Amino acid sequence: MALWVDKHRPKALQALDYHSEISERLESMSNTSSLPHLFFFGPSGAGKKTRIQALLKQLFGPTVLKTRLDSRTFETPTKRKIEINMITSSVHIELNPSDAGNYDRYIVQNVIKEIAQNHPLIQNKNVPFKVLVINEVDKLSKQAQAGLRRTMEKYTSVCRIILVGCNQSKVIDPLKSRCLGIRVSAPTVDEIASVLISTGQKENVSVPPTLASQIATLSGRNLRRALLMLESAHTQNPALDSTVKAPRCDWEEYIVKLAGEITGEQSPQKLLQAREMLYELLINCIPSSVIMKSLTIELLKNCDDSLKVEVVKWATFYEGRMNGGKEIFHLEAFVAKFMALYKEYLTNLFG
Amino acid sequence: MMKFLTKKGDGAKKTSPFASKATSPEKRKVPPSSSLSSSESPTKATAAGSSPSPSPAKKKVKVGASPNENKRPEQETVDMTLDASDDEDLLPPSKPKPKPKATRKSIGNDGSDSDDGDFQLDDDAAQDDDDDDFSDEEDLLPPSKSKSKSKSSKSPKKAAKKKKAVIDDSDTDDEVLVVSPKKQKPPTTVDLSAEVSSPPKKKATPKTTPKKRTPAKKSPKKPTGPPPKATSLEMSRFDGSSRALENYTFVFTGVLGSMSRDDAEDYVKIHGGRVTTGVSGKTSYLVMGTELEDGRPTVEGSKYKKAHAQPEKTALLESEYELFALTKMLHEKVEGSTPAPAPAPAPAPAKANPYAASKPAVANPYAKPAVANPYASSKPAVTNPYAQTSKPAATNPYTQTSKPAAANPYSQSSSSSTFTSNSGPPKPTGAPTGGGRANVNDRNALWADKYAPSDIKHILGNGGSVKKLTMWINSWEDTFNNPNRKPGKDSRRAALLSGPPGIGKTTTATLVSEFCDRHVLELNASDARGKKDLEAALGDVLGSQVLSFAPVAKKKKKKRVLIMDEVDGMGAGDRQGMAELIKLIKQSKIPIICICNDRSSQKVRSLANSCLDLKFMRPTKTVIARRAVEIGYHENMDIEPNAAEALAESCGNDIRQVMNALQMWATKAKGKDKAPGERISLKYKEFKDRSGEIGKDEMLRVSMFDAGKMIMEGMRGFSDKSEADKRLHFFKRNDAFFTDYGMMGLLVHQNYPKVVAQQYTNQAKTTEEKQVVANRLADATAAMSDFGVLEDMVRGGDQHWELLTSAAALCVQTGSIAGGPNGGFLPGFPEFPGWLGKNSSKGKHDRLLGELQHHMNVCVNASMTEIRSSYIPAFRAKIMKLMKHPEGPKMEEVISMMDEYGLSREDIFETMDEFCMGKNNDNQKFANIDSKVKSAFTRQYNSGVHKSQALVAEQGVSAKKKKKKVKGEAGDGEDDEEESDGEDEEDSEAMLKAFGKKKKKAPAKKKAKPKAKK
Repeated sequence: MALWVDKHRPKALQALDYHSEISERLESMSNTSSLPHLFFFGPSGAGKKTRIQALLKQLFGPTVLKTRLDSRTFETPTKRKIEINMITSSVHIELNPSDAGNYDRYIVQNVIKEIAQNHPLIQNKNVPFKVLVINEVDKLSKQAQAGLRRTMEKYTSVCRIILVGCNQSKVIDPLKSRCLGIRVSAPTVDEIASVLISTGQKENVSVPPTLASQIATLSGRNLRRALLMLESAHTQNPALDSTVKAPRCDWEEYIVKLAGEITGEQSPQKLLQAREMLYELLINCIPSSVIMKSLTIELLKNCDDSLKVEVVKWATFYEGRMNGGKEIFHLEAFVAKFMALYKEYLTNLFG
Repeated sequence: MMKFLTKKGDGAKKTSPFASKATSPEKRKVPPSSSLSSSESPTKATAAGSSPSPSPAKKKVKVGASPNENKRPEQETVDMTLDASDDEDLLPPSKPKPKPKATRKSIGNDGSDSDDGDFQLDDDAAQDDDDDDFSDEEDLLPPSKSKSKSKSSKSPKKAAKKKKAVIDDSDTDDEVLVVSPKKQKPPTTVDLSAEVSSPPKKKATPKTTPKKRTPAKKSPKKPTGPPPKATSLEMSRFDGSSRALENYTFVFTGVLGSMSRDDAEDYVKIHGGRVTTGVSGKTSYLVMGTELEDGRPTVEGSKYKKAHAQPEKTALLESEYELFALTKMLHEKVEGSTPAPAPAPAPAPAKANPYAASKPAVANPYAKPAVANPYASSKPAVTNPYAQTSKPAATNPYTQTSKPAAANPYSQSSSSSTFTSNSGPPKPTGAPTGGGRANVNDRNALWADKYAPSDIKHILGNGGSVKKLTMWINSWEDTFNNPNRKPGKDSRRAALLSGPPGIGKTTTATLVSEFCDRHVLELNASDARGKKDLEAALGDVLGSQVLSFAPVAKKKKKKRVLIMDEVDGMGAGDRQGMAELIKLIKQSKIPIICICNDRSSQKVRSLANSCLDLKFMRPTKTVIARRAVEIGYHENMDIEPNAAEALAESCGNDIRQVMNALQMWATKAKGKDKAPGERISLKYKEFKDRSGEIGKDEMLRVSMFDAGKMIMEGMRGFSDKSEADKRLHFFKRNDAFFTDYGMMGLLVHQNYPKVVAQQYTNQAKTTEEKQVVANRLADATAAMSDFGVLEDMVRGGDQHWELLTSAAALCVQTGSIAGGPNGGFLPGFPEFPGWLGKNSSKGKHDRLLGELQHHMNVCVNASMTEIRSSYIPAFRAKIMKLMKHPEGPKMEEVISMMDEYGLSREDIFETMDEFCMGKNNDNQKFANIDSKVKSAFTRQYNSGVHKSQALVAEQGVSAKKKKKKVKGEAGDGEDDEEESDGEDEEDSEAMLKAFGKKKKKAPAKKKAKPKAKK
């Protein structure tokens, strides 16, 4: 018994619900034997992986679906053992080098290169190559990305690489120039709502349109999350009607609370309190960029237009810095900046 | 004030020069004379212009003060003083009432010839002054203490009496010196009496009193509100030669308006005063700033309250200007009463007289201090704290040092202090006992060698450890070489001395060994100490004795002792040396003393287990200072006690380095054209000016926390400083960053908001001010964020270490902004960086999430982020619902879902619980499901076979790349899994156990760590 989101996930290009122009292009690509390197980018929950999966199925047939979990261990020059997990089928390998953190470039230099060099196990006349899917490529360090450049050119005869990432601006230009970029934008609220309703039909649940669009909005146009939210709502209250509220995730509620604290009082003491809450979020593996984004959206609700510009400016400023290990520094800097701005704003407003 | 004297009573004017003339010759004539604590004694040596009020005066005063006090007019007081000074040459002033401490001390010193006090600890001495340096001194100077102890224990009544007497005396003095309430009728006195009787009013009165009295005579510089310029004037007025504040103890509280605390302390020290940190019975003045560091009024501080409670002992100075004025006044006294070249620093007491006389009449700004009469209490025998005069005749060595050491008072005093065994004339202590030591009679010998202790009694500090070591060696034979008994479990064949360099560990080891009549064999870092070397060199030695070729009488077989010096220096070159050493220790037939600096180093830790652990501390600066002064005396140097203390401090209480520095100073001074035999002086001011040449790099000794504090608090009155000072201060803070560059950023990050918070709450009152502080907070965090960027570049992939200096500057910038233009204040001790703990738990959660993702990868293609932010909440809701289903837990459904996603029982019940935010979400946690339901679930789950079990096993023994089957191959997979089922379950169980343990330990560790660091 799987969750709806996995159970009703489309497996073929033709079955995809939206972005039909992308589906068409991918389908035509899969019919020729020359597939370029691809770079799928777009927000999470938009359907990048689903499209890749469908594309691969189109290319190789159902063998692609016979996957297994595999892991590989290798030693860095500093004698540190790194283990990398990957999902493999006979025709493709999917891996996530950014898991290795700072050692990601060794993975690129060793594992990926080695995989790319080897000929595919099953010789297929139509598709004379295997596919290597590299996830979260935007989280790779610059060195690791640079390490991919030559590999991508050198072994084209036997290997095609599909890069997947959310943020294309964090991928270096040389990589982007080697790939055909495919932007999978987030589905619109209406598209999500219609998917929700059709999924409901498959499960014999009637989803009221108001609830569907409410969930779609709350999910931040993330289809995966929307589906999960729908199912959660259904679990809480099996008879979905228009009175049902879309449930929010624990961490989202926490960020709302944090935003409330910040707008409630602006003082150094509050900053210290906010620091603790930010730490709590980080410890819970909520990525700093997600925190920044959600927090900014929450904070903006209390601002007028002139202030919004400033706040967003600083949010992006500090978000751009959050690459290293000490995200808390930048999150805090944003919070403090907001406090100063907001305090001034309140003073001007109420005297 | 002097002006006034001239006007009012011409006698007064005459008096002071006269008195001083009288005293100084006397001083020379009777050098050994001195602090007779009884009234019969001749001039106290300290009379050097500072002698206490002469006894006749005293008597008169007392007479006047007694029943008919009230009738005595002001003028009388003046007269009396005149009398007193007139008499001074004839009848030397007695020192009837030493300051309370002084009394105790001199009493204590009476019989301090005895040597046995060395190891004694005295609690009595410390009873009424806790953190006072003085008490330290006493603690460390056993002889005097033992005395005082015995005395006090013998005759508590007597002691009490004495104390009482002292207090009485001070009262009388009050009357004499300050027109004190009881004596005086004039309306002004009313105020004063009010002051005396009701201390709380004190603050209010002082300002009014001077005006009321004789406004016309006000001294031009009124202490309460001279323009800031006056400060520099005042300060420049006194060069380092003034000893006006000698014998007074100062405590500072709050933020001074025009100068930093450090500058103010320097100022006092330059003038010979002592500065302590806490108010005690010995505190003569409390200098109050405008407000406390945290912005509260000074009167709320505990120091003020304490001082206020003892007006008879401690006087209050409202601001640093009063301090300057006081110094100026006392200084003029010195100048006025001492003939020009008077070399000996003049302790205040003698001057107290004219002062006293003048006081009533003058519109005296110091009236307030006088209420709690400092002069009175200090007057007679406010002995120099360094005065270790054990014998009635012994002079204060420090004030006397300028005199030819005729009946050498110094040696006498020293006999009571540290050179306990030599009561004869001073001689270098380094008797040629240590065979290998430098020839101490060599004039060019290093002082550090020349004056190295030659007897265990001369070792400074660490008495307990020395005693333990001695006992240990003495009992060694009996413990380990006694065929009749087995060594006990707790007995150790080796001792480990640990402590910072330069405090006498090696010396102690050698001396103690010699004291125990053993031959010393020493191996240090200059010897090869690898495994083989040790075997070769020591294998035979450890069981043997020394053959002596000395004359027959001494031809006694001597046992050996092995000293392994610098064991923490046994490095890579000394292969296996440490292991071999430990092995040797276990079989040794002779005691082995190991010495190291860093007790906690990994190498030494293993050794420490088999050793008697003796930790050596740095002796306090007062003890070292005293020894330095003594040695200076032998070497023809006059060292001011304050200078000696500052020197000790700047050397980090490293005796050896103090000696080296002193010797360097002496050589340098000799180099100038000085007549042979002329004494070299080391004054506090000179020292401060040149300490850069001598001191150890002070930043090396600053702890990480203090350095962080320095970065965040900055300098008080920073904005008023000159450009050069500002730059210097930046470099200082910059250096502070490098005390621990890996940690400092985090430490500052952890604490700087508290600095801002303190200002936000306590200082910013209006909305605008709060806004300014809020903006500053934003700027500080921005700087911290800049720092974070650089730090990432330094530590990130490219290792741009060249940016570290810029990162340091940014860190200082953060602190600087947080502290504000005038310096900030960090309440309490700096917190240990929380980032470390948070980061490690984040790492743990990342790992857990990674595992979860790996398990779920079977059918989910989401990134870790998506799993955390979307899947886990949905999963939790779903499973929770099923487990708490109104028709009973739907376990089959849960299990089938788990199998679908490749999740194990632990993934659900342990891992997912880790990702649950908020404190009120307990009902969302699986751990809180009814335990019956849980165990039922576990049974049911274990009865089946699951992919996840194999997955767990695979991760547990990941070396073998077990292949895991997925959806499509589920059928095939079944067989494999059944085979390895039992084994896997065991594996997973073991893992679970281990993991559970880890989890429990983790929080405890986190808490313990910061503490340990602190």
